[in-house]
Amino acid sequence: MALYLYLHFPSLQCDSLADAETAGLPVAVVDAQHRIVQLNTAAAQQGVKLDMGLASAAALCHKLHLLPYQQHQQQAVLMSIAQQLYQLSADIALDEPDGLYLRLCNMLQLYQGLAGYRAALMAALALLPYQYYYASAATPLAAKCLALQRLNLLTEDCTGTDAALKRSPLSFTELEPDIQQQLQRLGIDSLGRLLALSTAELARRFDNRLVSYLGRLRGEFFHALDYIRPGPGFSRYLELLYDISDMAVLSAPLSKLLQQLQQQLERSNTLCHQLTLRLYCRDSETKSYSVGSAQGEYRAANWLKLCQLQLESHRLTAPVYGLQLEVTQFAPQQAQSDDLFQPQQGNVSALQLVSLLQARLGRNAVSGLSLQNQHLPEQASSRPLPLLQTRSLTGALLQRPAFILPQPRPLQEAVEISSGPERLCPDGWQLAAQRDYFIGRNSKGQWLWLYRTAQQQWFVHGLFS
Amino acid sequence: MSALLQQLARRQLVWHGNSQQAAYQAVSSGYPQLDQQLAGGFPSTGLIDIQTDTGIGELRLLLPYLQQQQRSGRLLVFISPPAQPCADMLAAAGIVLSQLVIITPETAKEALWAAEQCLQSGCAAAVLLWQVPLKLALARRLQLAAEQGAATLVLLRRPAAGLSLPVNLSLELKPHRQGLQLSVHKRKGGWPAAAFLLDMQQYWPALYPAADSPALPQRKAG
Amino acid sequence: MSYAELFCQSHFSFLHGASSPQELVQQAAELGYSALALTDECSVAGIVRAYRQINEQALNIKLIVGSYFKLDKLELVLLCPDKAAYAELCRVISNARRRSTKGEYCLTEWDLMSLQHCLLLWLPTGDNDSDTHWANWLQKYHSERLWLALRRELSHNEAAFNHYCRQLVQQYQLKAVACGAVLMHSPQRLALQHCITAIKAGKPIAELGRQLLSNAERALRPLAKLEKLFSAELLQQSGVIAARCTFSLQELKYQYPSELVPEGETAAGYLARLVVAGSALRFPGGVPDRVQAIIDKEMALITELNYEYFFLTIYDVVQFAKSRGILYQGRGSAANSVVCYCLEITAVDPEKIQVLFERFLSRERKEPPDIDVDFEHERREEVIQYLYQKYGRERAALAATVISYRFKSALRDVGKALGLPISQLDFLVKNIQRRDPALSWQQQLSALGLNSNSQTTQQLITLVEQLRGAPRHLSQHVGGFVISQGPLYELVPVENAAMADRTVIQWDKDDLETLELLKVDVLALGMLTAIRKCFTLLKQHEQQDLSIAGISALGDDAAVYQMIQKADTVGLFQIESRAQMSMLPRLKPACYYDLVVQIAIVRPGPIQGDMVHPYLKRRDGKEAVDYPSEAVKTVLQRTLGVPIFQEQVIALAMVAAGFSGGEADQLRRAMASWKKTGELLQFKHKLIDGMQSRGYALEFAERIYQQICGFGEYGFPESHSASFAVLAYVSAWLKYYYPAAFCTALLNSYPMGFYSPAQLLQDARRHGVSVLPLCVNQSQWDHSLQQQGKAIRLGLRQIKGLSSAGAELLLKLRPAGGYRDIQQLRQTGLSRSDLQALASANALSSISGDRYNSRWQLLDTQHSLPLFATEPEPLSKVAQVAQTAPAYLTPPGKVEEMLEDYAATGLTLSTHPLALLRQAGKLPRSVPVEELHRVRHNSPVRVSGLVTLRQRPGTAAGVTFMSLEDETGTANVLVWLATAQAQQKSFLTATILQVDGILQREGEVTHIIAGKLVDLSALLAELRLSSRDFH
Repeated sequence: MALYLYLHFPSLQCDSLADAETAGLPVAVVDAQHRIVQLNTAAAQQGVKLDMGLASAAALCHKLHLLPYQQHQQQAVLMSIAQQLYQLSADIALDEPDGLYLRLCNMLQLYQGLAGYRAALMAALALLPYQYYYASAATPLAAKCLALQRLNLLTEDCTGTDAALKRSPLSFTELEPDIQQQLQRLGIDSLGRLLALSTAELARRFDNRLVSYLGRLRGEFFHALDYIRPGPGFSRYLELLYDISDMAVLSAPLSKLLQQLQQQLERSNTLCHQLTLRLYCRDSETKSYSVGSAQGEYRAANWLKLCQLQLESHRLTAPVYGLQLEVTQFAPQQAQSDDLFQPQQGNVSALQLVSLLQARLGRNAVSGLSLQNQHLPEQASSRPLPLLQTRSLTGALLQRPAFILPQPRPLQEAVEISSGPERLCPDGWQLAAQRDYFIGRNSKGQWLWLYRTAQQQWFVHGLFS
Repeated sequence: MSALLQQLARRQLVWHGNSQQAAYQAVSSGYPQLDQQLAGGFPSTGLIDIQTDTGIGELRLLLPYLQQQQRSGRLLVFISPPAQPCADMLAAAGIVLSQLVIITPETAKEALWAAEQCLQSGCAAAVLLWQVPLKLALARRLQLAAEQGAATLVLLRRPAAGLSLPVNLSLELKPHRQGLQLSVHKRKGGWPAAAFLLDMQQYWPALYPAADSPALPQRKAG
Repeated sequence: MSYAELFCQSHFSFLHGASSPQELVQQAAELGYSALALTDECSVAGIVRAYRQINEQALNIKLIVGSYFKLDKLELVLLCPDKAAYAELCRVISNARRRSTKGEYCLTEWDLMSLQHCLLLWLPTGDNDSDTHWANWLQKYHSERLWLALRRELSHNEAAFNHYCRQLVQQYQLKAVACGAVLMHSPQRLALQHCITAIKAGKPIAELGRQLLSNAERALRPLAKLEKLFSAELLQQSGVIAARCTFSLQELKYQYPSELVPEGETAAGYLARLVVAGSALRFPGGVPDRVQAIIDKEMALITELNYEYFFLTIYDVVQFAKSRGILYQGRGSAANSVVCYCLEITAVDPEKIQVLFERFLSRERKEPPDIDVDFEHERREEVIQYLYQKYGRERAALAATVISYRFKSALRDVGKALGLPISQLDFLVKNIQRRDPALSWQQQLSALGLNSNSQTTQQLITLVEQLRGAPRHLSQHVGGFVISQGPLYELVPVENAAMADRTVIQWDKDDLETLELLKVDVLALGMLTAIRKCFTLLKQHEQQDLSIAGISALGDDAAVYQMIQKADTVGLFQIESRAQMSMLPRLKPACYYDLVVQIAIVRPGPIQGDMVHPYLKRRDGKEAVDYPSEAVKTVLQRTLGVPIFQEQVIALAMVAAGFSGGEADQLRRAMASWKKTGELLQFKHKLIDGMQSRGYALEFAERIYQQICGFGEYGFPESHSASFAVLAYVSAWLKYYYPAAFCTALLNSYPMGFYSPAQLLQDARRHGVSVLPLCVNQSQWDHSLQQQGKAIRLGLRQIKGLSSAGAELLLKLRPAGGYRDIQQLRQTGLSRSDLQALASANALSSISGDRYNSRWQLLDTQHSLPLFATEPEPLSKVAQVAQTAPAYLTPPGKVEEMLEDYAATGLTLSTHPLALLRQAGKLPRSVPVEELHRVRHNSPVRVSGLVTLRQRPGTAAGVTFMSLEDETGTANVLVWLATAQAQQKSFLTATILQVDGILQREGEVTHIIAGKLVDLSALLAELRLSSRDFH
């Protein structure tokens, strides 16, 4: 006999927050229409309810912490739960945004019956921080309907589930709101009343969606589920046979891991932009390094060089007993065969060059320059990551010096003013702090960008190199 | 030469070994007067040594050239600039900011390493390196890297900050009320010339006001 | 040195200028400018305010009228040297505005070419091609009146731009002049200017960067500074231009349309003739001497002030309404005159009101006469169309209403500009309590979670205060028409309104008053519709021919006043609100003038906590009536020494504090706008000093000032109250004698008034009227009277979702014997949604059983094929169809019926939900409302009911009124702020509420002061489920 389990996770996004952040704090998730779609128990205790408007929720609970609904995060969390349960149960289908279908019939033998399966499942779920509700039934839709009612039934006994199903209000079915409403207006508000009507009479009055749903609910129609396959990602741990205290010696085991990574990347014809390397140290904290390649790379040898460049600048304070290499995201392989370390051929791309410079000099030492839509000179130039194509929102001002001093310095010499003033008002509309900018030339022939404060003090702010 | 090769040559993606030993391939400096003095302009690759004080117009002098160099789509790299480069001024002068990389290494050694990497890579058209002491051997190495990567390295140094280096062009700049006083110390394939004045008034009227412009607050002693 | 600022924009350049016209002229005068041109963008909307400020403050500065325009890359300022130029400017603005949608304009080259009088200041943009083109063009057409305007804003690269401008001047032989391009009266307004720029761009300030002004130089600057920035010649040229501008708004003279007077007659003669004819009609027994004396006095005043045309204009409008059978009623300062009574503008019998015309139309105050005419709200459009048709669109337009930033809109917009999250702003806006004077909103901000020390919060506070009262846009006045003899656009620009086919002028009613231009107010009043419908019903059913004047003429009816005194006033005009009801038993109005006072004394809103109005105390004899002087006595005598009407306050200021007529008029205006601008403060000293110097005690003076402040928001003119009292009385009379007809008329005029149809019907049933359910075969579109006028049959209009076209079809095709079944009804071609609406309203019960059955039949698609219409179905088959309803559909229970009644029609005739709950034992110890009179004063009580009203009224700080309705009546609950806050959940969301509280009774008024609030909303759902289970 067929048996399905439905797991419902009503507050995935709330529950994903670390405990420390949310201890006792009411948290709710709101969607784009400002409706509450998830909430934690603290919020529920304050009277916040699902589907409530943001304004009423905020009025009820002043301290309510609000998160915007993040579809991607929700999907990712649901997927990760499915992946974890995949160790336990073979046939799992996602029911986005917050449910999983599990086909049980073919798993029961493996666990010597339902009790064994239940124990294993509960143990696995207990490890996760997510609230959940569940129910089993002979069809996926029946299981879902019961789980949404938070009945937490897990039984092979169909009479129990059938009775519960008949009592189910229509609001827990998959029927579209318009159909539900029509049924309600006929006084049909539970599945039992609906199932009692003849299908032929219903078909004369309702469209295909109702008949199709009832067919699948009863198990008369086949219900296709899209069971998941385990996804990509790379995570390997290597325990060292002996402790290593010298960075250089680490290359060998690291290279081994990188080779494995290369194999997986080659198989999937992908590359990755970033990997995380963790060094587990004896009697000391685990060290974590993030190594990146802006262009993306799959070759072990090149990754090794990038890792080495980064490791060179660090010293090991404690011996390492284990290495972990982790990659979370793969990117499709671009048609490109450049080699980072063959500059003689003049084929290094700009991205590769930047990766190389950053690896050796540190991220902060390499930057681009972009023009910000700001009046104040100290805010108008910013140093973003290099090579970013930024769309400038503003026209560039011609009369600016080539270099701005990080700190304006008091003017200590005689200058000859050649142009000005240009008046700028600093942030916060402090009129008393307005500056009048002039261009002036000192006796050494240097062109300076000067300003005079309202207090008639003069400062040098830039150099017209 | 095939059309492809020509195209690559124009984009400076191939270069021509040592065939032009006598003189360098010149790129217009953007100033007709200067181009005349330099027999065509600045070198398109290799080292340019500029001895100058900071703040007298040294970068302004180079802007048309740097803009020209960037046309190939390759990078312009500033290494150890004397202060925060100003996006407004560079963008207004036509420098493409997304093709500009600024490197601020902590040591001179790192600065030189970075310069070499950039020059070698072939993806930088010009590298400006400020105030880094340079030994002869290193200069040779950088010259080689620059030729390999078809790039220019512009060294900005204080006047008489060191010995003569193996460079394509060596200039000394002095401030002048109407522009810059230039002396060519060395030019590959040419002879040093007498110092001359490059008038900048038409390019930067706000800095070099015409004599008849309205009165402004004249002086300020600090 | 003399300087005239020739380019200056006020906040009437919406979301661009950051200062008011008043601030600008004030500051310019203080800085010693010789003239200021107010040049808002394609607008002269601010000009009158600047003009008034100069006159009121006697400022030594010339005001120049002008306007700024953009056309592609051309920027221009037009200035008016003389009246011809002003008419020209108005025409250009009107044309540019009328070409475009509301709020925008579209100038054409043609507009500019046609200029013959305006002076032009050209502002080059720096775009060489366009500047060259326009320099040639302008030089070609307007060289004599053209200047190039040079600015010094200390902006980036300004020297180069000015150099370029000077080249243009030389090249094209132009004259050049200095200008400030002013947007602010003071540099301190920079923050506000940034803020409104951000509001306009719809982005936070932080994202705007260089779109913002880089400094505060676009303020009015001291002359010394200008001398440094501009050459003497450029500055001097501004004076030259200013000297050419001699036009003043004073020159505008309004001319009444002349066609109102028959040929060969003078206006005065014609008016006199009409009044004589009217008085004969009004006083069939002959005009009493006393009345005739008043008429003569009024006519003399009208003639002296030249107001004949004004009265004739109104007379013409009401004559039109009368001819169409549209009910109307005049009100306003001049309306309650015997002349207006004779002209049939009002029905206020001067015999009864004994008011003095001079009280309303004052020689010294020079304030124009004010007559508003209310018309039936459903038919006002006919009157408006009549005006347009009679005078043409060129000569008639609506006055503008300046829509200004209020606290909440300012908070929301400033908050957004400062980058606060929208959800937080929504929260603040919703939760800041504005009515509590003891708790400033600034203090509340920190209670609501905003860090009061942070810079952003401080900026928010400052900017919100600055933005409040600033105009956002021009809207149309509800009904204020300006009608003129010549084309209006020679007087003032006309622009499009949001409503199609409406045009508005750029000035509001205050501006019109300042310039002494007259407007005619054509307003809409729902009660007039209801009264007219009631008259019509009574004519049909009772053969009664009634009129407002007729009912008034019957004299004060004690029985009617008894009903009013009992606060049995649901549905009556003006005295039906909760606050009014609570005062009626205390004030016990017993005659017409009592009603006039009643209406003015209780403006919508407050019973002010425990504070009983001094008037009440005096009336009840609990406080002695005394007057500090004979002069004051003449003003306050009729209201027992307490100023109740706005006119009394004005008179007090004049009599007791020595205000001149003009000052008193300013005071009146300040009172009207007190909430917006806080202008009242400036009168405080003058008032108090004035009274003290005339020998009044400081304490008395302070009290009067406080009362004036109280008036600010709620002050009501006696003249309006007098007209309203007539309608209040007529509605009471109708309700007392014909409750069914009156209720039917109210329902058929809905939406109007204070109460929902459900409440009105509840009230009617309490008065012995029976109410018959909706029925497809019995109901008309309107609610109708049945059973000899004793019963109301609900009309189809009550059904939500039924289209009026559908209803029309249904009624047109309804067979004499009614529809037999659903099939026959379907054949009419009614739409699916109309049929569903009928089923939901249970209107089909006579032909297809209960709602579920009706819907089941309607859903059956196989029977919806059109049958051959001519061939009647054999009866047997019909019966068969009707019986196909499956037995397994359970009929709806009482709760379902009741809920569906509410959902489909907003009311139920079946069991009240509270009755159901009570029967089910769900309301332990709750006292039914009709039993409340047995509960003693100050004793604890529990009531439960549907929350029909949740109202946070006027000044009653921290009090919310709630009405709880159960099956026996409505209970009044008072919830104090603290109680509400502590139990917010129940307070905000409950639909059925149980209140444990203390019953308080004063006279016949009963309140329950809420203690504990329990949300019982969930009970209904429970009840519904349990009733299903036991079916």
